[in-house]
Amino acid sequence: MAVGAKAAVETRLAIQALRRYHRDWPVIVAGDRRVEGGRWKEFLDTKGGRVARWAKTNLNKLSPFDQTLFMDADTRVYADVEIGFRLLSNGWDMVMVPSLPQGGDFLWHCTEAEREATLIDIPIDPLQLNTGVMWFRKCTRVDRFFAEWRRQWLRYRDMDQGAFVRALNRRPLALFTLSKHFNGGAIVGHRFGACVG
Amino acid sequence: MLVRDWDEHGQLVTYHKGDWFRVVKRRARELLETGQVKIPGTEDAREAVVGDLSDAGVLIVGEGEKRTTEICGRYHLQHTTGEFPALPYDRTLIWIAGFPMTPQRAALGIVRVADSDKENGYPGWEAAAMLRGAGTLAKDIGSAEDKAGTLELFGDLRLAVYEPGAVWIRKTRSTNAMVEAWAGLLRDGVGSEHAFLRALYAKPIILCTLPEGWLASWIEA
Repeated sequence: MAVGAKAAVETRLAIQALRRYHRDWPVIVAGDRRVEGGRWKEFLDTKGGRVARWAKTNLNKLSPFDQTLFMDADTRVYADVEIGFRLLSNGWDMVMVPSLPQGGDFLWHCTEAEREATLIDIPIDPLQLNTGVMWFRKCTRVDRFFAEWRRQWLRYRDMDQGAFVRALNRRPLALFTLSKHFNGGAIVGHRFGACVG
Repeated sequence: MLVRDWDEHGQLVTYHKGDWFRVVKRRARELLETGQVKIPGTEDAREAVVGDLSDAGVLIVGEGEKRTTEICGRYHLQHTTGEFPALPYDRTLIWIAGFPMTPQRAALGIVRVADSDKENGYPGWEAAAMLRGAGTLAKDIGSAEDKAGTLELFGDLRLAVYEPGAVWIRKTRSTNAMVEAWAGLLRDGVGSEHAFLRALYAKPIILCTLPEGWLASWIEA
């Protein structure tokens, strides 16, 4: 996803890094501009929030693929990442990585109102998942999840991860959890905040 | 129901179902009379938190567990023993003998795998399992054989490890298949953590991944 000049630079570098390990994988870049190495899909809708956040909740509509790996522009592939597709091929709906902040830091970056609403929604301590790297497949259950994610995001129109956790609680998925090496680690690096500003 | 009250620092705090907080007697009477709080330890308080558990039970895997009555008695959970994971109840806590457990954790996990969300009618989680703490990876545990088998499936051993000592599962076609696979790998001598991972790989289920340390964070209702 590339919205803005900084994100476009990061996306170009992210595609270059991906190509070192997966030369033939088709890449779609959604956003407000073309980026070298990817096929552009224009997406400008904000719904009163940030384009990139709203776009993330529409990934199932934006992706033409049966199986998709979504990556934030500020991620870098350092090794083979086919593992997610293997799991999807086996029938898992989605593959993701937990966020670093958990427990008392759960949804630290959301407003207090959204954080509180999320904790009320979910009867036990939830696992926060980082939406910067996600494998997902096309199926009815996943489509229903994304529809719920959009609905939850529209409540606050801010960050996407609180909405994600609330949506997942309502529309559970066969979601496999990988280690932090696959988002912010040795296999997929994550330059958090590199696209901001 | 939520209760909002002022804490000792003058901050307005929201308390959720299951929380403990201190109040003066007058305030306690007000809250009790309005039904916003219940006296803990009573049957209706337990039921309010966990609901009907008559379809649920605990399968203790292995020998030597001495706390069965303590763990199962509080919420009147049925229980049985077995050599390998299985699903003897509609909702089963598969508990490896000797693994830390409290009655509240046992019940709360079972609540997590209810078959549907009563409010929304959406299908619920089929299973709940906790991640093992301290960033434990598959490459850090098990025998060389265990690791080789897992590597062949996943292609990488830098995998998060689930905690197989306590897994809550609702009986469905998918979870039956997964548990059969899990038990089969254990019978073949595969180490506990690798067996669980490999069973998951091959037999997807609607799995609620609980955060590491979840078992330690339950507060008595």
